Amino acid sequence: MQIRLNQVSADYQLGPVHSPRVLQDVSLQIAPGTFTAVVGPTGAGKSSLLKVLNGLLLPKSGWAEVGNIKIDSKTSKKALKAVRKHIGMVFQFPESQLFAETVEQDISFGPLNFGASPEAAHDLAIKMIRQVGLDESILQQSPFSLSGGQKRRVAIAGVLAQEPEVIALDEPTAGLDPSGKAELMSLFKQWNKCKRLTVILVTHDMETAARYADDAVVMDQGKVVYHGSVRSLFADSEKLNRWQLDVPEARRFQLAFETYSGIRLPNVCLTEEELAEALIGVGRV
Amino acid sequence: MNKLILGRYFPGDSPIHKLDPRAKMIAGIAFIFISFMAKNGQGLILLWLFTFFVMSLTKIGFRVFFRGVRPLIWLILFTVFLQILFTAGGIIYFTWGPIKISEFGLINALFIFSRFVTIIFVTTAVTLTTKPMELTDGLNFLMRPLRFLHVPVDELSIMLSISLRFIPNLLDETQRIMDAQKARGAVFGEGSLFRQMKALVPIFLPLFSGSLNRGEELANVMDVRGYRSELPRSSFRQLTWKIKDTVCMFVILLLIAAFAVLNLVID
Repeated sequence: MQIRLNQVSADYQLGPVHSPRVLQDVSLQIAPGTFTAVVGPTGAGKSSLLKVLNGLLLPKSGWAEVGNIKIDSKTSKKALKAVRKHIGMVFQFPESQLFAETVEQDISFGPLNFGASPEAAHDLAIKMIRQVGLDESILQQSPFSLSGGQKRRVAIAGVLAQEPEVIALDEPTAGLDPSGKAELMSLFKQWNKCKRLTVILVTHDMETAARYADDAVVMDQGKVVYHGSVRSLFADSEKLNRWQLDVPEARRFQLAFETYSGIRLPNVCLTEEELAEALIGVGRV
Repeated sequence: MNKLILGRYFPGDSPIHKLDPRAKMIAGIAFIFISFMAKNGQGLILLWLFTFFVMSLTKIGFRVFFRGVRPLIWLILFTVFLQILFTAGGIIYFTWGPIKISEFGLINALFIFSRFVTIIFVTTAVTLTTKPMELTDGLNFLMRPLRFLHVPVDELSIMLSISLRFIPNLLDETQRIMDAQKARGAVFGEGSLFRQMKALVPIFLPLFSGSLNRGEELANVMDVRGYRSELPRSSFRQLTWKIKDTVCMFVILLLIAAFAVLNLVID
């Protein structure tokens, strides 16, 4: 599902706090089936970008397009619901959205809202709970009795159950332990690869962005300042510095290695596997 | 949610902002009684003049004050119409069954309307210019005499200040949960009343469970940091009574005197 933003500007209002221009003339195209990381400092408008895609924050000017549905300041509620069906949104700490008596009811909430029959919703719940790596027996438990990591997975299953074509993730691994984090991220990567699910991931963690994403969007003060491959972003230390982005550890090692040894590695290494391979390659010569 | 002005603080450094919360609260309460001293045309004008004087001193746009009246406008109109329709006396302009529109009715309605609106304006001026924490500090001070009746004044004021402190968090959280449920296809404010109420369950349950958790965490943190309800507490923010606060009190006394003189002279 093609996603396009054309000169989108948006304001944000929460209670008395009015933040003007959280997005400024953002134009962006995200191709179907890609894995895109949205990075940038706090308050750069990353979460707002996701909200625009989902019709939770309507553009003040400009428009967004999801598939063939256009979102602008006058889009009807019905069209927004159609957009939301296609874009699954996992918010920060998604476990805070759990409310139902049983896990199954909670997972079925989305599909039922989008018009699935109760039987279909039941089947989806079983399918999705397996997909997020939990046991079926959990379906009849109360979501409030689960552990933090389990709750997170149930919440994600609830979003997946609406069978979206795009999944928008806002810091999905915040507060998880390292192994839980890796497991969850590889699940997303797997869905992206096998099901051609478009993944848009907002993150502060450059390691995650470097390891899992193909493309990167860098946002700064409400503007998109970079959109291209992750590798070429991390190749350019000067740009990373300007936008105050961390350099992944493997890449940092590579840079230090190159400075001290005077040997240049053939490619930009983003993970320790790539780095090891490059080093072995250089050693053999 | 965005419309409620009462109890909201607007930052600024106007003379009213700088007054001691106690002075402002005493003045605000005094004004409620003063507004009942306005019994004639001149008094009414004085009441409005003072109100606009206070409003302009806050340096907050009048629009904000008007918005503060809006939630109460039906209550005000209801009482005003009761006065117009059911007060007899003076010249009668219109009669229809038990309903009479009379001179006294119209005058009474005008007074009631003015009292209502000026009281709202002045008390809004107090709450708009005083931080919630200052308000509770002031309240704590003013309630002190109740200690002799074994009212737990300190506990009440710490409860109040904690509640006020978490209002923004709660608003924030509500918005987040609403967004999350909307993203899952929930629709709010549509369909029959029953459906609308049912649609709120996915917001309120997570909100309640979140608040309970936060309450418990907060209680633990307070315990760990040595909060004991039975011991006397000192305060980080010390209220200091300054000359301008005394001036404020004199202005209120002056206002009372002016009304007393007006009422004497005109009667």
